[in-house]
Amino acid sequence: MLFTAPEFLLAFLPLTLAGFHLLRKVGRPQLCVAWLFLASTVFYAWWSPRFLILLLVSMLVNWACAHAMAGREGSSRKFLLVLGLTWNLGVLAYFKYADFLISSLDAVSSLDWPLLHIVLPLGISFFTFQKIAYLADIHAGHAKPGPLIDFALFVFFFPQLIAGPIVHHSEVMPQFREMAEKGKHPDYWLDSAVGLTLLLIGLVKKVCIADQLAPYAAKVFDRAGEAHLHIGLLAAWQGALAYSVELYFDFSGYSDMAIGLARMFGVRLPANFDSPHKSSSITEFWQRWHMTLSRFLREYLYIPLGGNRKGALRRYLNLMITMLLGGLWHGAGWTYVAWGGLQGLYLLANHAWRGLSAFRLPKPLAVALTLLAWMAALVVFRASDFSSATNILAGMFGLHGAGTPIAGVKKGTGLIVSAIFLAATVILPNSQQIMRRFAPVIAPVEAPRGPLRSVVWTPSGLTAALSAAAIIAVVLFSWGTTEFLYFQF
Amino acid sequence: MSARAYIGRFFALALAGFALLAALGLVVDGYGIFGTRLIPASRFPPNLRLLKHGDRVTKAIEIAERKGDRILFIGDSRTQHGLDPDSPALGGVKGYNAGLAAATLAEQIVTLDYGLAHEPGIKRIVWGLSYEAFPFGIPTTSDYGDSAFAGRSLVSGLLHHLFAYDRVVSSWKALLQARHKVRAAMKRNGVVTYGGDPVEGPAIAKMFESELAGMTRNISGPMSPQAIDKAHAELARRLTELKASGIDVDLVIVPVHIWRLEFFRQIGVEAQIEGWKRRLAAMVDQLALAPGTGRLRLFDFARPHAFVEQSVYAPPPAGERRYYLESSHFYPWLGDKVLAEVFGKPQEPETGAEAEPFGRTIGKGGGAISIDEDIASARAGLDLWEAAHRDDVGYVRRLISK
Repeated sequence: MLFTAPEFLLAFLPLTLAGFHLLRKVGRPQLCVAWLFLASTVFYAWWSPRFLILLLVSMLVNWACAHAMAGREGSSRKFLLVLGLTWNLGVLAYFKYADFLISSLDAVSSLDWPLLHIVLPLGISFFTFQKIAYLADIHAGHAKPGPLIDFALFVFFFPQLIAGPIVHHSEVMPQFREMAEKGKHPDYWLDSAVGLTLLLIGLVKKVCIADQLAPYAAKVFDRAGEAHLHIGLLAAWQGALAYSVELYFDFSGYSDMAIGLARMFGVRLPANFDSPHKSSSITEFWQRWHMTLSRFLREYLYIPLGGNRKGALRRYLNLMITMLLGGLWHGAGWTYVAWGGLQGLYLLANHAWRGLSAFRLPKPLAVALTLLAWMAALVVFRASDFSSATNILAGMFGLHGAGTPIAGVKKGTGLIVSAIFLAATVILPNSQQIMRRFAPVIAPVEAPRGPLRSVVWTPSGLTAALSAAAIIAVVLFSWGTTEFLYFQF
Repeated sequence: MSARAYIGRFFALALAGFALLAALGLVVDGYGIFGTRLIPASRFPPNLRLLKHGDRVTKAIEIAERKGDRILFIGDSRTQHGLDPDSPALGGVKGYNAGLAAATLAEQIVTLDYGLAHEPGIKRIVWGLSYEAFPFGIPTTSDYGDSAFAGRSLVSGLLHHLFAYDRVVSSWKALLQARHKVRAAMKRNGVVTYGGDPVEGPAIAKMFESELAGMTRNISGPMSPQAIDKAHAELARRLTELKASGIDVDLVIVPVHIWRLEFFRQIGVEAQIEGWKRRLAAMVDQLALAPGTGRLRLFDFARPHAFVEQSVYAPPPAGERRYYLESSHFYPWLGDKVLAEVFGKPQEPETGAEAEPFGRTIGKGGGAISIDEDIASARAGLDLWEAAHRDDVGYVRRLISK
C-alpha cells in the first residue's frame, strides 16, 4: 500500500488511528501495540500476503536468536549471533542478489545458468538491517530482548517498514511501551496535528514535485541506451538535474510521511534528511543524506572493520569497502556498485585533502562542487547500464555538442524547473526545521540561519488553510503517482 | 489556536475545496460522462479532450458505458484522428473508435481485449497499423496507468474526471470560454472531429517541422529487430484467437504523408518497413489456414498517391479539402476514402492523378495484389515523386539534419 494511495489515506489510516485511540482510551496498552502490529501486517499483506509469511518467520527467527543469546555466554552466544546474521543475510542474498550473481557469472563464463526471476520482498533491505543491528546489540550487551509483541511491532511498524528511516531498537521500543499507557501521553491532538502536517509536507514533496519532475529525467535516461543516440548538453543536464531533485523530494518526502505517520501514534522517529544539498563537502553530505543508513553503515560496518583506528591507509580501505557495500545495498547491479565506489572515492579525496591542505573553498563554491559531484554520481546510479551512463556524462561535459534531438527535451523547461527546485532545497528550511517547535524527530533540530529563521509552523488558521490547500493539490496531482524510488532498494 | 481546532479547520476547508471542485466538474461535465452538463455542448473549447497525455481514462469509461457497437477501430493517433465510425462506408452499422494517441501495438491489444470484454456483439475489427507504433511496449508517460485499460476501476476514472489537475483545468477553461460562445468540436464515437481546421496556419508548420526535424519523433534509424519480431508474434497470437472467435479483422496499414515516406527513406528505415509489410502479408496468408470462421484481410495505404502528396503548407487545390492536419495525421475525409475501400463501398469517381487506386488489398483474391507488387510499386512511386519534387526532397533532408 502506498502512502499516497486513496485506500491508505481514506481507509487504512483512519481505521488504524481510530482503533488505536479507542484501545488507548479504554486503557489496554498491550492491545494498542498488538493493534498496531496487526494493522502493520495488513499494510504489508496488501502488497503480498505470501511475503508477509516470510517476514513473520524471519521475525520469529530473530526473536528466538535474541532470547537464546541473552541466556548464554562465550562461544555459544557468538554462534547464535552468527546464526542470526547468516539467516538475515541469507534471506537478503537469495531474494536480492541471486539473479545478480547468476547473471554476473554468466557474463564472465560459459555457464549460461537461467535466471531465477525472484520477486524482491518490499522493504527487505530496510528491515534486514534493523534486525541485524538488534542482534548485534543484544550480542554486545547493549540491549536486552523484550516481549515478542514489542519486537514484532519494532519489525513491522508500518510508517517505516518499507523504506525507513532505519530505526534503532533503543529509539522506538521504549516509545512503544510508553505510547499506549493511559495518562502518559495526554496531548494526542498535538501529535495528530504535527503528524498530519508532516504527512502533508511529505505528500506534497512526493506527488506535486518528485512525480512531476520524473518525466523530465525519464525522457533522457530511458533513451540514453540507444546506440545511435547521442545525449546533448541540454538533455544531459536536464536528466541529471531532474533526477537529483526528483530523488531528493521522493525519498525525503517519504521520510517526512513516515515521521509524520509515526507521530500520529505518538512515536518520534529519527531524522533521515537534513538539507543535504546545503553540504559543503561530501563527508557532510553523507551526514545529511539518508542519515539512518549512514548511521547503520558507520556503526555496524565501518567501525567493526576498524574504522579510523588502524591508520590512514586502513581507514581509506574501510571507507571504500563500506561505500561499495552501501552501493550494492541500494541495488543488485554493477552500476550501483560503481556508484558506491564513486562515493568512496569522493570521501577518500575529501579526507585526503583535509589532511594535506588547510585551504578551503569559499562555502558557495564548496556547496556547488559537492552538488555537481553528487549529480554526476547519480547519473551512474540511475542509468540502466554503463553505456547509458557514459552517454549522459559525455553529454554533460559537452562531448556530444547539441546531440541527437530527443522528444520532449527542446525548450529547457525541465532544466529550468529542476534548477528552481534545487535552489529551493539549498535556500529554504527543511521539514524538521519548519516543525521544530514541536520536536518532530528524536534529536533536537537546529533553527535555520538568516531571514528564514522565522519560518516555523504553529497551529493557526493560516496553517490550517495551507494544509487544506496542500491536500487538494496532492489529490489534483496524485493521478498517475508512481512508487517511491527507494521501494526498489 | 489549539491543535484540535487546527485539525477541525483543516478538514472543514479541505472538504469545502473538494466540494467546489466536484461542483465545477459536474456543471461543466466537459467529457460528457456524468450527464450533468449545464452548458451547451456547442460552447466548448476545441481541444478540451485532446489532452497532452491522450484520453485513455475517458475512452475506457465510454467503452464500458456504450452498448450495441458492432465494429471496433483499434490503432494509434492516426486511427483516432482519421477513421470515423460515422463514415458512410459503414452503412449505419454502429462502431466505436478506440484509437489512442501514442498507443503501441502492445497497448492496442489491451484496448482490443477491453473492448471485446465490454461488448460481446463486436463482429469486426478495423485495425490501423503504423510502423512507428508497432514494436514498443506500453509507454509509461501516458495516462494508461490511470485508466480502466490498466485495471483501474471506473469509479476511479470518474473521480479522476472530477479531481485530476488536467481535468479541473479543462473544466475551468470550458467554463470561462463558454461565456464567449466558442464553437468547438467534440469527439463522438471516440474519433477526434473538427468543425473546421482548428490548428491550421502557422501551427501546422511548427508541428510538421519540429516532428520531421526530430524534435518530437521517436525514431531516427532502424528499430530493434528483436522488438519487431516480438510484436509480430504477439499480433499473430491475437489474430489467431480472433479468427477462432469468428471475428473479422481488417488490418489497415494507415496512409502516410509523402514527406514522411521520404523521411523514412532518408533515415534508412525503408527496407525495414518493407520487411515489416512482408511479414504482415505472410502472417495473413498463414492464418488463412488457422481454424475459425473470422475473415482476415490486409490493406496497404502507406504508399505514394495524390491524396498523400498535398503540400502541408500550401492551400489545397480549389474545390478540395486538405487531407493532412500535419505530416503525421490525416483528416477523416481521407479516412473515409480508406474506409470505403475496406468496406467495399462505391466512392465518388476521382479525376486526374487522384483517379489512381489509393490503397491496395494485399493477397490473392480478385482486386488484390501481391505484397511484392505492392512494395515494388510503392518504391517506384516514391522514386517518381522524388524526381519530380527535388525541392521537397532537399527540404526533408535539411529538416533531418537540423
